[in-house]
Amino acid sequence: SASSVLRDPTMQRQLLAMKQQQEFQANVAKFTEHCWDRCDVKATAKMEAKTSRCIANCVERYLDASSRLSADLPNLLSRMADSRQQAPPSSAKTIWG
Amino acid sequence: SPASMDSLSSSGVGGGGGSDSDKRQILEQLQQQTALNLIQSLVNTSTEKCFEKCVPSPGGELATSEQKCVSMCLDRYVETWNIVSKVYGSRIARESGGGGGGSSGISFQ
Repeated sequence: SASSVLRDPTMQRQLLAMKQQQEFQANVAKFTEHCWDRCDVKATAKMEAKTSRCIANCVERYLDASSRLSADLPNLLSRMADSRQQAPPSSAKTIWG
Repeated sequence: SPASMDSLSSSGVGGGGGSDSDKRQILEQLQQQTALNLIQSLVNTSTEKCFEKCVPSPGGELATSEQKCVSMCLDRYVETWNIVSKVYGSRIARESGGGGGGSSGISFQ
């Protein structure tokens, strides 16, 4: 049966590997589009060295920023919970009101 | 050859029902579908970017210069993809302690 095929541990391992690969490719697609714009890649016969450096930096810095954000997230979330129990400061009204 | 219902119900080695060739076939089909989706995504995005870059004022037809631009643009987009794939792949390998050898990226030649 189909469900017993899916329960096979080898099958599950390979499906997991495929899922991870898919995630990798999806990220590559996302970074490519983003860094193409950011680095203003030109439609020329040859890519300039500064452009390929820019693309590499773009990816690395994006990942750095992403790690930074993930590291800060627990702190941010706990601060959000605290502010819900307090009255909003009057300065908030100035900004949003 | 397509898996028949009979072959799916016969037990194979490795636990669970279904023969090894059926499992292989399922994985191959999934792999193929994933690759197709990837190509689709690449084509859609690069078409959009290259149209933007090479055809600022769409006229009655695509000029020769515009066609050449689109062609070079696609080459550069694929080159960008390959750079990204390499940098991202290396970064992951570095961060997981250099383990899990082999590249999980696809690069386009």
